[in-house]
Amino acid sequence: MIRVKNKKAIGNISRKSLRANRTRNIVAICAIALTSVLFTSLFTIGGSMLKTVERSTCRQVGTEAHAGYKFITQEQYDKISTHPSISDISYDIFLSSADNPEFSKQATEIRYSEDKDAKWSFCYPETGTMPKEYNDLATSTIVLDALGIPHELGQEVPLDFTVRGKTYHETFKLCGFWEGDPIAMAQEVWLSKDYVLDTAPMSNIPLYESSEYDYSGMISCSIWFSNSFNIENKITKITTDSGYDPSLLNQGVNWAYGGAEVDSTTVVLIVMVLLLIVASGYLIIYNVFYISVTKDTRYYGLLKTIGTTGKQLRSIVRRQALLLSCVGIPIGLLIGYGIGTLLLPVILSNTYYSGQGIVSMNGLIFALSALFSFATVFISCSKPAKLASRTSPMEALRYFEESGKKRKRRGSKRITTFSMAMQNVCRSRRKLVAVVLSLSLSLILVSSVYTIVTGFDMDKYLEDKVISDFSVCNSKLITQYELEYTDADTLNTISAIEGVSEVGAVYMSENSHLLSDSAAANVQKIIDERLNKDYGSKYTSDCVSKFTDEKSCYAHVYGIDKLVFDKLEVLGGEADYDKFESGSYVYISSYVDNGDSYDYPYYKPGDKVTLDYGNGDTKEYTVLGIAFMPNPANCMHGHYIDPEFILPSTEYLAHNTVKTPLHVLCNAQAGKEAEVAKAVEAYCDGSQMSCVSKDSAAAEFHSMQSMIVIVGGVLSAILGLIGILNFMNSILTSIISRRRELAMLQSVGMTLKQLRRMLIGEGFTYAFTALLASFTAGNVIVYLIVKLFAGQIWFFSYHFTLLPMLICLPAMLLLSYLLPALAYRSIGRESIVERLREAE
Amino acid sequence: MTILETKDLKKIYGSGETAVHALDGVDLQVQNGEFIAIVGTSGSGKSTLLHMLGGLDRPTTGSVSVDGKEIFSLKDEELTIFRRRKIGFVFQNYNLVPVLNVYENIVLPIQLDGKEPDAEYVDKIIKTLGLETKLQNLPNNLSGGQQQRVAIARALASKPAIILADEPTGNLDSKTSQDVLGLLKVTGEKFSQTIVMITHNEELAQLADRIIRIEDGKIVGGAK
Repeated sequence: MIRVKNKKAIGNISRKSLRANRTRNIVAICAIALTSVLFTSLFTIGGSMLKTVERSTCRQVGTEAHAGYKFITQEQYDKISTHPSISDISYDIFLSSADNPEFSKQATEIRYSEDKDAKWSFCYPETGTMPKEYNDLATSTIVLDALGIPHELGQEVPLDFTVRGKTYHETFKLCGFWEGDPIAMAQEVWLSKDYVLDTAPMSNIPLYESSEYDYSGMISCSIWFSNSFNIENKITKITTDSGYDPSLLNQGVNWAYGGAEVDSTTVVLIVMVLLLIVASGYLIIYNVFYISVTKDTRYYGLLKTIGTTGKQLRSIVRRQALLLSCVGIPIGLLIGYGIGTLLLPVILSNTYYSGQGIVSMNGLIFALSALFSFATVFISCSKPAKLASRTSPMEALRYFEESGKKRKRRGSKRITTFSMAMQNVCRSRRKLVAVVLSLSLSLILVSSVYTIVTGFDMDKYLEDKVISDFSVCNSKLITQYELEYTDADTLNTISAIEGVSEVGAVYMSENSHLLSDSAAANVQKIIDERLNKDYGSKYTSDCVSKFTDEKSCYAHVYGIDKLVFDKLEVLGGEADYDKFESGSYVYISSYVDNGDSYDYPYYKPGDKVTLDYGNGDTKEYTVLGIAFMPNPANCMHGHYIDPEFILPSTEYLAHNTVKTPLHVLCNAQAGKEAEVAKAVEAYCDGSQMSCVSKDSAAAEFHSMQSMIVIVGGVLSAILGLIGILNFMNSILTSIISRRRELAMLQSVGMTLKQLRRMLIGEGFTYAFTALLASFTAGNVIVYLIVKLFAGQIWFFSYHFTLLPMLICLPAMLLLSYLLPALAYRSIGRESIVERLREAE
Repeated sequence: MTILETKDLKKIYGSGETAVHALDGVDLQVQNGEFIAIVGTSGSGKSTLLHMLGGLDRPTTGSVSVDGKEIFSLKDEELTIFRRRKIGFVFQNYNLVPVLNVYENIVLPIQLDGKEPDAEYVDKIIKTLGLETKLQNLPNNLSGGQQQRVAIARALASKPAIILADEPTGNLDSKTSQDVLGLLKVTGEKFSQTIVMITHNEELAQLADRIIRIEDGKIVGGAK
């Protein structure tokens, strides 16, 4: 009871004190809002990225439902669909995959589907309807385009398919279509239920009990639970509860809901950014309240005199902070959300998910931001609140202001306006530290972003991405890491393009290689000394067992032309094209140890190695040197112990059956790059090939740079705002609260000019200290930050630069000149006596 | 009944050569209901003495007992609460809370305690001091004399054991001083309050029941 009543009194005082402090309130609200903006942007971007990844993965998986079963019987479906943990369920019936020749490169499936299941699979007609009539068909625009059919309802769609040994060539009527998804693993064609069941009547024999794997007529269903936690266990429970064996019944979990797997670097990154935001928010909010409390120390002393306890005073400060937060945080939430929405596409532009960004509207984002913001405000005002609580009643009764704890002051050097300025600034060490830190933080960040961006070495980057002007390979190699070669006509088409100066092909096959005795000894050394240390025994077991059981290892055999040979980096041995071309020599890679040492070769230069091409075809080569296939020309994946054998193309083609290259590279004549680019693009558009060009790689590089500039720039700008706000607040309040003292100085003879000079000197002292700190300790921190974030990036090299700080220098000095000058004008209007007389 | 008692009260500022003996062993006794005036010149230590009596500042040695309780045996927070309930202050510069209106200022100590003000009693005080029409005003809207009357009302409202007044008429002109002091005496009698007042003005001191003189930190007369 008592608590409630005196809370009212405290609340009353808090509210009324709040109203008396207009300027402080505005500054505080701005500070709180800015902090909140930072948090909200971070969480919006984070949450949206999670959602984007989830959505994208769902599109690849083929459904957004939590889990499902594939190819079960009607009986099985009926049984499981009654399980209480299922929140929603829908199914489709498989007919066959489409055999039209146009679909040779694009998997297409024919089914009947319920409306819900179709919607969940992102395959619901946007124009038209799902099949109603017997011969109706609904499908995606990708399928229509492949068949060369215009996107119009009523069109005839021919389908070829096989069911239970019988082939069908039927024509259907297009009743609906949707925009096809290029990243889906298969396209869907919906037919009417009657047609499907007529063509493939359902059997009741579970798939795992039948001897033929006939999927036609089998039901696949999608299931939603009430939430996405623990899907694996939930669906297993359904299977077992319905009396089936989880290892037999084909149950599946949508791995999009696997929960984002964040690696430790990302976590560290996020935590660091959070701490940065808390720190910068703390610096300014603390300062605002600290200044406010010290300014009102007489007021708090008075309250103490009347009988307000320390706890109550603390509560008064806290409540004011709370009320200000209630205004500042919502503003910050809104603006932060906007910024997050704008930045999301920029950040995604360099990832796989470019263009797929979905902004998350999850309330959790706002809740978390508000929570963190409130927490920051709470932490920031606790020291000032404690200070208020410890005010002694004597503060109210003194007629002089006790300034600081110093008892003596050494040195009676000449007193100048500047020395007075410095003394004044040092009066409140805490304020000085808070302002300096706040300003430095922003300077450090700007400098870091600048150093990172300018440290990106485009040449180094390009070196790893391209070794020729253009490079053509199968798009599946890049997007899905599947081993697919170029088409039969690729090499010839590219060679024939007008303006091409040189063409080089890269051939590759995967082999198993029987090691010679000396090589085996080397491999043993690798296994003993490096393998488990580098990769962990969990993953290396297949390489190890292959070696111990068969004295073999996985290998890649490459055939290259001169264009690629010129780009080989030969370590150890000779780089001799003539010898190489003769076909009796081979280059072999070594066990990669951070990419540039060859302490662990498989074969040494001069060794003899025998390659077995199968069917009794073996040949012995001499190792000419150790070399690695350049990244743009290799096959993108391999095992841990996996030497590359590099032969000339002629030698390769003599022994291998697969004659299509993995990569076709070409250079353009000087001045003809644009034409060649067009021709190569045209070729790639018309086939499944994709092209990487020097220009496209350079564009990628620039877009990465600009992303960092934009994101880093926004962050720096906000922190800069915070720093400047802090700076402004400190200077202005220090001048206003010393009105009486300044009037006193004037009354003893200090001229206006001298007074102004002193105040400007104080401003300069703040700015100068901040710059000094930034130039020294700040640059060390920049180095650490840059090393942490960009040190791992291989095309980044650190260059020390003072440029960004030097650019900010004049701005800061200008500000520190203008602010005091302006502030003084506003108080200089009252007469000296008026200002002296002021009690408050 | 002795409502206020000090024993060998000493307050020393600084140390060694620069030590200032603001209070140099003060023994004092005040009975319930008395109106005491403490008189002394500037620097005599009278303000310091009052601050000690009110528990606003801690002595170097010695003790102060209010209503039988040794106030400096209490911790800071407890002392504040004690002060809130048992001691009323009237200052030379009024020391009203600038953001609260007259009524809120008067009942503030009571509300800080979490109690409901005794409406009848507070009304009586307000009437006696002639503040009925000014209850909604903010302090900066009142004359010096009016502000001081509010301060007196505040000091009375919580029915403290003693009221300590530090040069209550220091900032007022002679006529207003007479009025205010008269009110102080009248309300003290009417509501049976003990009042200890500091002043350097001999004339005003005559209104008190007993005059105590202090010089250089020592009592030189009227201690009893």
